[in-house]
Amino acid sequence: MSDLMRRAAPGVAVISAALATVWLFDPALRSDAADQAAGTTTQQSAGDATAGDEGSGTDPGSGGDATSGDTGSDDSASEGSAESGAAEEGSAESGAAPADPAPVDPAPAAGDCGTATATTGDPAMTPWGPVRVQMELASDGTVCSVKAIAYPDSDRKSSQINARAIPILDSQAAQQGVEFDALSGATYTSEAYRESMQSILDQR
Amino acid sequence: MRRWSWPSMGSVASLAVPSHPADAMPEGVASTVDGVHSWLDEVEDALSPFRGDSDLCRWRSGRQALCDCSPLLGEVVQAVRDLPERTDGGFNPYDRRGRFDPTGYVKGWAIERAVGLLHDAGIMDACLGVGGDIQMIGCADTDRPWRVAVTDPADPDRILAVVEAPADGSSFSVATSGTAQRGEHIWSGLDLHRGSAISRDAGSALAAVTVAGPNLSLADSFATAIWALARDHPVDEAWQWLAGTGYEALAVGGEGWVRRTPGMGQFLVLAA
Repeated sequence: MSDLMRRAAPGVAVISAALATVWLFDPALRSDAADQAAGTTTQQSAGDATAGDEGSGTDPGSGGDATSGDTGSDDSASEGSAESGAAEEGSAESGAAPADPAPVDPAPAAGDCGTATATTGDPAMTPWGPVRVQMELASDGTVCSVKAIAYPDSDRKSSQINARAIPILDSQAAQQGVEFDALSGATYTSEAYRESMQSILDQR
Repeated sequence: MRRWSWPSMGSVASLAVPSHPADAMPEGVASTVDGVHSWLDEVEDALSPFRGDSDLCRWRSGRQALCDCSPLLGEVVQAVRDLPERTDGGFNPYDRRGRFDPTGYVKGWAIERAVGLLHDAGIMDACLGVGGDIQMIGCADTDRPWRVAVTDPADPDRILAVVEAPADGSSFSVATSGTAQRGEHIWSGLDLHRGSAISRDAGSALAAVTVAGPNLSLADSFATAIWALARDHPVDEAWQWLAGTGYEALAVGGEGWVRRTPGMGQFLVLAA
């Protein structure tokens, strides 16, 4: 984190956390980002979204390091636990068969969810830890299920937020009837969730 | 749909370019995308407030003359000059220490300009977003404009709305400012007068505000301004300076109410 943020008094740590996520120019993050951009920028010439390209695995190299700089948190303890959380969930599941029953019913639209492919998104950072989602996609691109496989629970406030938000977001994502190309919104948790989900969409 | 993603500006950049059977995609698209990377890096080198060697930091600390800095800095200084007035004081290009900090404008501007690079290279359909701020040109498919889902910050149970770009494929953008959003500086002028650092969610009546319109530099700046103003003013007051600009807004209150500008409806294909 930048010196500016390091010098911030503890009392404004939360404010700093919010502000530090403002367009990070942190050199360390930047070099991570540069490495990633050079090594793992994903491009898939996937035909049409509806033309039968299956969701493929996410890049295992794009794990916690790029996003960990995003925490903007001066709290190294919570950052540490966030990292370990990311590590536990860190392995990308490439083309794995759907394992557990989906937490929500398949979307009413077309798509054979019986043969859906599970894809894990990149972890997306919040000040309280990473959010990471797993989507099951039918061969025609229909979203069969979305669930959070990692979300911050390292402190009480965060747990309160997420106990409510995460399951609801799970069902929300799977129930979209309208096709869309990108997402815009405003809360940390849902933004991170969206970011992780977007990383999956980007693989299609 | 061809998609690329890479880390950028502390978030993730997502670029989508449709592919069609008789694809008019020009050769060298990879080098064009590389050009977008380079552009965003160049912006960072020149305008980062977090890096002491950026042109912005050297200029504002008195180590380098503006005319000796990257022309990007001069361009941004010029561009934000009238934004406070245009937004009734809502947009404020200074950080809490009173130093010039145009970051709230720069992100949307950089994304918008990046899409301009794509356009200049012959890519007429594209959607580029970084951290939820999105600039689009052209269409997503032969019969479908680009669409952006806006999540409801007050009730994560649903997507609040789906915003659709104009059917003629003209430039369109969506930006959201909110309580915990990345990529914005939200300080009102009043904060500076009080001389205190007030968190962006302190006292605002809004949970989030989404602005849609042609260019992301302005959509992003306007969203920032509306959010900041809503701390002390009814959000409808912002509708007055927004009217006639070509930009429309949808605001979500802390208590869950939703207000939108009279013209916002033209962009909505799904609204709560």
